[in-house]
Amino acid sequence: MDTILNQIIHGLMLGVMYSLVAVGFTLFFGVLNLVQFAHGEIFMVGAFLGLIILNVLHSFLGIDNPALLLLICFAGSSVLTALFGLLFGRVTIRPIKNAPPIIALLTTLAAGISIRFFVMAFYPAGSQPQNFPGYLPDWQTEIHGVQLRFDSLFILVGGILLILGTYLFINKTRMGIAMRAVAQDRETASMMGVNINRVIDTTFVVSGILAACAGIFNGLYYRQVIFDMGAIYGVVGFSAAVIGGLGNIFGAIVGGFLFALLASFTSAFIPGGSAYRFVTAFAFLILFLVIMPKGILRASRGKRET
Amino acid sequence: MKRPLVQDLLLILCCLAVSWALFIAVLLITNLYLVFAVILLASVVIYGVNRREGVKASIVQAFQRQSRFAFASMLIIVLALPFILRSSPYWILILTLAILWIIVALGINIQFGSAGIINLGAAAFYGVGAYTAGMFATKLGTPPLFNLLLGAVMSMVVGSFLFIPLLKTRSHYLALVTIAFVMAFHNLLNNAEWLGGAQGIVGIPPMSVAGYSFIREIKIWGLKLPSQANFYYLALLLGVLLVVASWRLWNSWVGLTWNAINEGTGDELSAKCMGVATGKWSMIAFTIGNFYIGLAGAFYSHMTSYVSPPDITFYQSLLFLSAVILGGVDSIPGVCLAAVFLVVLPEKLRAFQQYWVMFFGIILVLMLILRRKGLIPAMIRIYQREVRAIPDSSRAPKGSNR
Repeated sequence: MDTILNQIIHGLMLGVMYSLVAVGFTLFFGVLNLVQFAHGEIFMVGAFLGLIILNVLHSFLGIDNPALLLLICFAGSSVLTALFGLLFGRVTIRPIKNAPPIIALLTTLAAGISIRFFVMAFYPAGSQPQNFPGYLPDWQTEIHGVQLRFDSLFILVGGILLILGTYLFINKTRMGIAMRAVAQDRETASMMGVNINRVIDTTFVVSGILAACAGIFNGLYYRQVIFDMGAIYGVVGFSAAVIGGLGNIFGAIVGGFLFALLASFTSAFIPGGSAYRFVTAFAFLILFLVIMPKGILRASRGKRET
Repeated sequence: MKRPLVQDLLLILCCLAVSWALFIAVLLITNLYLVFAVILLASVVIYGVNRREGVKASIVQAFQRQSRFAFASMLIIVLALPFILRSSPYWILILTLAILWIIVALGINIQFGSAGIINLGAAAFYGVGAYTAGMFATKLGTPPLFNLLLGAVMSMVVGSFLFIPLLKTRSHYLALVTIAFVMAFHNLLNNAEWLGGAQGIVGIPPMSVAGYSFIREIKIWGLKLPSQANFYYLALLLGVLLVVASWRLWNSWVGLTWNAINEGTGDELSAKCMGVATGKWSMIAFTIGNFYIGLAGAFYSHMTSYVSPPDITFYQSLLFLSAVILGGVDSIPGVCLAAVFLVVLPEKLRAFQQYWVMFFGIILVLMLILRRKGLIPAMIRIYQREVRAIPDSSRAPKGSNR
């Protein structure tokens, strides 16, 4: 029982990070109708920018207050990653906006690889894992054999707040409604006076912020970041978005949690399973796509091309 | 119409001589500045020829009219290559690897280029071939030629596990399935002890055919060829056979059927209405492609006598696939050219190793944005002799609707 609860907490924590990346994928697919495969790399860039900000603040400016450090780290990395995403979108996505889906996927995949190896080549000792300073308190407690660590709770709460914020943004603000309108029907939306290019830019900004936060969460939890961590997150985020139904934000969140719980349960309950957690997760994904190619929650729109 | 035979032959020989001379120069020159100079020179020559429509058209026509002669002279040159490079066995080995890449790229070209089945898991099938050959050779000691065939067949069999997703999913969903497949496979290889785990399989016996060991030097007419030439010639034999097979498939009704079910060039719905069994033909394309890929994998493990999980990653799959994208989707000469580039260039630019992947990604992005047809765009099929007289450039290139 305790192991189950512990695994559920671990899975939920992982699920938050997967969901934040998956929401990015789903937003791109909804608005642009293409798979932005470099999103995993944007996540990685967010984590590295956070690391750079932390190091600069700590060693050059001598700030020691962990709360202030983390606040600046999250804010700064979000802004910079959003800008990076914006630039990336302008350079690679705009020219292929009307290309067949597979070309868009390959282009972003190749661009993502460039970003990944750019970080490897130009970050000092970039091919090695980088230590991420743990500024979260080491506080932990046990309630009836269930371990609660501060960083897990922090990630859980922070991630849920971010997801809630995205939900409110998409549903309550003018720009969010414009995004949903473009997702439903680009032409009609533009006839109604929606500025498509601004919507696309906003998509990059929103997903960049989410990815940056997920990247810093990842760094804070595992205490290290490496240049190729975006590869697995990219595929997992995409898988989660597909499981939930591409284009559906709520579905992406469900998919992210499902994928994370599946991976953590495999490592807990199958003997020697921790090494094989991705085998089961991906086998499940393939099976899932065969049975339900459109995901759990189909995107709520009238027409949809696959 | 009278064909200027001699003129054509001279033109072909001239083109081949220039391009191969540049290629061999790039291989043999060790000074990197000189290499860049030669590459620059080659680019200028190609750009110049490309700009002059008349020159370009006459070269293309010469190659089309005398395709057999061109093929034969190419064959003579590649047969002679080990003699030219006999002082640097390393490059013979790299060229052998390049031939294996050509085989893999041709397999992916059948899947992705002809039939439009995106396969981002090619490295997994390469791995199936390599591991099958390696396991059989080390555990059971079966003869290498048998292992080659077995690796290829095994790759087809493993590919058939993906038949249902293949039939059920399209474009990016299928891409995701193949990515998931290669990632799961990599994870499996890394952890399965009976497959050698993270160390992989070591000590795979080198290739030998009917008692003739491939690690011996060759002596012909008093010339000594390094032992690597053995592998080169066998790979070349397989490569030529598979290139011809690919070409025959492409130029037949089978290739046409594949183009019809391709999302990019054809229309699946119309194909279905015309009575094409779309599901069956995509399965056939996928299986034949996997045969090619698995064969190359099996050869690889007998060549390097070592195969390990780092060779079988999603990134490797993307490299394989990019040979098709760079060379030209559904264009056999283009794919072969790009495969050779993708093997030789990183070897040549070892000094810039850590920047290579970054540049590779940028080149791929630029290619996909600016020149989606590839280095050598796919040709128009020629069904009637008279049509040959029309210059190629006057017709709309195939796949222009992409």
